[in-house]
Amino acid sequence: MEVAGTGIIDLLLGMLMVLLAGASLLLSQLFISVMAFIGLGLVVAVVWARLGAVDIALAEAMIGSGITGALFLAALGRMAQEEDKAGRDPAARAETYASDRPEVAGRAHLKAIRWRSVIALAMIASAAAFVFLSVFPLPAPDGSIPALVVENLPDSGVANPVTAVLLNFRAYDTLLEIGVVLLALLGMRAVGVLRQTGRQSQPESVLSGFYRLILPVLIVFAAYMVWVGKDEPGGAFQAAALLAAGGIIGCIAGAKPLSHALPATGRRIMVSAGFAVFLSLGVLSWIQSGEFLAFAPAAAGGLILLIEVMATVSIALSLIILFTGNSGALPFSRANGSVPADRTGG
Amino acid sequence: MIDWISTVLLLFAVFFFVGGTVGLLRFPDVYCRLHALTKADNIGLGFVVLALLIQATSWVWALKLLIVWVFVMAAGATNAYLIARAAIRKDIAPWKSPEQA
Repeated sequence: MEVAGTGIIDLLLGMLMVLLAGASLLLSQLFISVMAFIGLGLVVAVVWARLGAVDIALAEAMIGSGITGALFLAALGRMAQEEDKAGRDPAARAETYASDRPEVAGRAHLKAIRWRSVIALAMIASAAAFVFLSVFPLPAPDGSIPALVVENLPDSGVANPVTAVLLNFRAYDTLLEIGVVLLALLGMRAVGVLRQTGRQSQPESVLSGFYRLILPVLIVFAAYMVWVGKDEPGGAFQAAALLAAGGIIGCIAGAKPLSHALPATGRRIMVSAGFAVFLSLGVLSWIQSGEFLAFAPAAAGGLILLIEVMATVSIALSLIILFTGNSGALPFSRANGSVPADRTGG
Repeated sequence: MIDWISTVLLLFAVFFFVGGTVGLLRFPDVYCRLHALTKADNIGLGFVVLALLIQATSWVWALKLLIVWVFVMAAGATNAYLIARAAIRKDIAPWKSPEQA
């Protein structure tokens, strides 16, 4: 049923999107920027839903708005903590900003940063040029692709066209997407952002009550998301976001850190399992049929489910570790004004 | 007939959402704003759910709507508590009316 007002709603949503995007980029107060960004994610999710792309709407709301928002807030909390520390003690301030490279200070330091910016800019520019040169010669889509997907749907092993594209027809893209999550984790470890804090949050009565209420629901719902992904909107990323949300709430509520629940090797295996299984299956199909990531129609359904389950576990754990840091302990102190024991001595 | 009842319920919802928004913008401190927001959201969403509930074509649909409402209320209450506690830990004193102060 077409109502006269829907055009106005879409117009308002579009304007709100631009407004929130501008606010998240241009405002000087980081906290408000983060709030605008979270709001932007929700509005974008609504827009996707109105465009009929429910899969993307779910992913945007859960990962783009929810998990990314939580990551931003965790980073803000950490920054506030560092500033707090620096404010209390000038020596700590010096330590905060120079501890990584004590040999460079002042002008030399600035010069190094400038050089690095130049190199980074050059790399970004060449990457952009590469993308532009590869995309530009591509023929414009002639509208035949949706029909092609529907035509080949029986061979994909799933009934949801989006899942068929993501995990069969264009599985290469999704493999790389899962790789990106893994790469983000490795990158953060490599630059040492995820240093172990060794601190835990205090147990929270109200929040742990909510955690106990919500965790089983999230687990069941995540399992449903993976399972339903083959027929209807859903899939690994959405399910992983639900699990990660549970893990993040648990960390804030003072639940046992991941490092206590899982040995480091177990964590590493679980974090890389999704990408590893996906890649191995791709290579296997290459050996069998001579084509990378070309699943035989008979086996495709099972393989896709296997990949989705492994990817869910890996992405969920990656997102939780990105939020909490190495150890699964909380990256910032919750108790106001309490100086952690290891810092009071200095 | 059912459409009319839904419309009336949605108008009630709009009333509460507008009230909550006005409270968010106009109330003097974080605790009052939280009160306005959470209360109005819970009841406003409740009326939206009621309006959609009587339009539901199957009981699964209706159940899903109710579950959405319950979880939003639980999450909203928890968030309100966390924000209020963070404010207290930051020593933000609750607003008092001029006569009290």
